[in-house]
Amino acid sequence: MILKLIGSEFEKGKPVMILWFAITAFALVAISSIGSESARYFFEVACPIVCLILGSSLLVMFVEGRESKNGGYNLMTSLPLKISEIILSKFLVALVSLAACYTIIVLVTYLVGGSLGTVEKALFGVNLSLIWVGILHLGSARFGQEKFSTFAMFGVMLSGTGLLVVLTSLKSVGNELELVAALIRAGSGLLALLVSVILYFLLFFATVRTRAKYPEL
Amino acid sequence: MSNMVEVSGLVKNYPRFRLGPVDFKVPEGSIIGLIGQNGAGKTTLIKSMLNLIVADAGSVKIGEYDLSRNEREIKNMVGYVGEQQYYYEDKRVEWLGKFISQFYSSWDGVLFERLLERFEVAPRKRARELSKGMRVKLSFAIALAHDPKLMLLDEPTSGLDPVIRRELLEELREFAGLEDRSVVISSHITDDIDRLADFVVFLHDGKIVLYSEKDSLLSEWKRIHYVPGSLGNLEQSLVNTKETVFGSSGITKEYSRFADRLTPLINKGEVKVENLGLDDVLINLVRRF
Repeated sequence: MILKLIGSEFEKGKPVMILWFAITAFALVAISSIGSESARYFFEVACPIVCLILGSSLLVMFVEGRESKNGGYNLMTSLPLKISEIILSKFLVALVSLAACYTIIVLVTYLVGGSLGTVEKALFGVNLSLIWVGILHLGSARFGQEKFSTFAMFGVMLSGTGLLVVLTSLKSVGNELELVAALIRAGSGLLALLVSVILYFLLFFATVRTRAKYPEL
Repeated sequence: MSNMVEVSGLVKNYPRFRLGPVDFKVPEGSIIGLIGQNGAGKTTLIKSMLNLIVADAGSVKIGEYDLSRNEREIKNMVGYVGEQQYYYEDKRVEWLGKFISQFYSSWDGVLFERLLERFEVAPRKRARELSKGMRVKLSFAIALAHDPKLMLLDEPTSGLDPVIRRELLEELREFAGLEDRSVVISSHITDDIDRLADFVVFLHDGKIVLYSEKDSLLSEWKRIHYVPGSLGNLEQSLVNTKETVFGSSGITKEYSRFADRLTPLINKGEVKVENLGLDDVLINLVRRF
């Protein structure tokens, strides 16, 4: 049953996935042609992280938006399916999509002769995306997709601005880019991946409980 | 007769509403009409019976299965038609049939096509192109195509024109005529329940205040029109008494108790007995609580 559900979830998210993977591959190829080595290195690190986070967010919000607009959860829960199975399939599809995007990043970087060291740093994007995707699911279950996507947008903008302010204020202490680099290094290890996966599944359980409590959202 | 459904101690709490504790049984092969005002808890009760709303306490047994352990098996044997029909609006009817069919263990694709044909729902139409009546018919076709033992219907005919309403009620009657099939239908259109149900469950403010066989209920609830003073002490047992052109009138819910004493008065022309519909019973019960 769960495999059938996963299949239908892939079907729902297919347009976004194709676009997401294509843009990621295209961006990496384009970056490889940048002349300046330092600029290229910067983009080689930043681009996969941004693609992973933005792509997975778009995927979740697209599918959840569709479910919300069509009453997809109402339809599916009236079928011989449990709410936990429905949500598990969504979490698994997001996980597999992130893994697929990461694989594309590794392959394209290898093919264009990019630095494989930067690929490791893309794991930071995977880890962050896992937690963010879990939060998006949980938030949509609690507040409804439309309301929560507005919250999330403002939240991201505010935290981005906050981060910039903090980094700017740290200028006198040292190089802010080094701080970001240290953060990425710490967040791209296998231990960080393990922690993210655990958090991801904790968010899954929280989403199941929330969705069962607020079935009409 | 064994029971198709057994609901015991079912409770669902909301900040300003509490359903239950609800206890009731649906005998195999019967049609239960669930009536009550808007907000009485009919939808909450029906949804709780399928775990579409998770109850806070109590148990639901359908057939041989317990909802807490066998949700999938129960949903496989129940055809559900809700008040609102949810479909992926950009998808065609045939796609929806295919999508839904993969989750049922006993889906009959040929029967689904036949039902669409009978209900005149075009398989190539997209869900968003269907009228309200067509959406309900599609929901019926989906509910019937996996050979359910029980139909759970939550205000299925609300907002439909009389022709489609009658058509769907006929369909339900046909379904209930099959061996061991049961139906639970909620409606505030008491006329529908009057036509279909064997038993009536009256839900008020989250609680069952009446559960009775429909025919015996209607044979007991009567409006008595009488010449003032002709009833003697019987008058005290009437409720909702008022002055009318004929004289006075009141309602009894125990007609069989007084029938013998009323017959001579009826013959003398001092008393007239009027049959009540479920509507009148519902209104009088609401006044009492």
